[in-house]
Amino acid sequence: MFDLDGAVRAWRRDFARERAFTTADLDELEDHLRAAYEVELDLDPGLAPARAFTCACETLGTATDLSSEFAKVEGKAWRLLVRTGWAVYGLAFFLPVARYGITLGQGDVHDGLLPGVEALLLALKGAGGITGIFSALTNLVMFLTFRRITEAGRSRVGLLAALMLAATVLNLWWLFAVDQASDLYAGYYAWLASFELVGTGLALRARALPEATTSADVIVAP
Amino acid sequence: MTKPVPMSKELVAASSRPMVLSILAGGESYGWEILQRVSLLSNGRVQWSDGMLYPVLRRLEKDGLIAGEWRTAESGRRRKYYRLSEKGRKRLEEDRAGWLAMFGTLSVTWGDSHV
Repeated sequence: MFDLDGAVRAWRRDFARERAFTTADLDELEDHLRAAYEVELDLDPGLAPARAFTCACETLGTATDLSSEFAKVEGKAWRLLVRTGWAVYGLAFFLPVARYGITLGQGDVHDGLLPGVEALLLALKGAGGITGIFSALTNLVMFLTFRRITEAGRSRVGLLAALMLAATVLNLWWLFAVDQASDLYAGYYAWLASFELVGTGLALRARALPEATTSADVIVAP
Repeated sequence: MTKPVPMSKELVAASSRPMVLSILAGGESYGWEILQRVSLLSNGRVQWSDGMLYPVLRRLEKDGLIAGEWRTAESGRRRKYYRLSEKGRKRLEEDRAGWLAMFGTLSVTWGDSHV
């Protein structure tokens, strides 16, 4: 004997694993599932109830497919994170990053604070050693995020997110390279945070995108 | 009923809002019934994937174009019924004007006699 309630509970457990669904969403989808099940049996009374339930589940769609559509509805947070990250990144170039002579050990040529733009040039010249050069080059990854992120597919956005978060970790290195953390100023922390913000935003975006973008029955526009 | 007409996801996405709003303009309804009406009104030519309607409803509700309310259906099950909001009615008018202009233009371009 087919246990409909048991099958519905198992279906709900499967769907509940996806974080995009609220309890109300699941209630609504369950109502649909039960209606679809009844119609399957009405249309073909000879159909095995278990088979009718499977058909109803299939017409409703998989948890993964549906959750990505639901996530899109909520998916504005990633944009805010990425845009805030970009703004903070831009700001970091004008904020003081370090103090001349102290942080980068260039001698007391100047006295005063070093803005982000100059700090970047010094780092590229090797003032922070080889790791410093790599760290400065992470700016290229940031530049990559400026291009057509909204249209990019899951794998591309996911890769950029991973690169940005790896860059964040690499850029933490300066904290250990300087004599004391107080040698680094707001510009450095803003620069560091911008990678974290954009990386997290892109990771959220990647998670909300469908695995493949070819599904013909996707209704919600990206 | 005729066979579903193949449609790009962009077309389906663009038409989903006016379609749902138009159906709700005729009175409150719920997910399952909306899908049946889409299929019936189009004589089976427009076939939506069942589950994909729900994110659309959620977006329309979030945008304040429709309002959902949980009630107990005749079957005894809890069911979410949707109705058109005033904002939704206005949006439907805008959508309608746009779609009519688009449909009219395409029809003339294609030389359809039955416009």
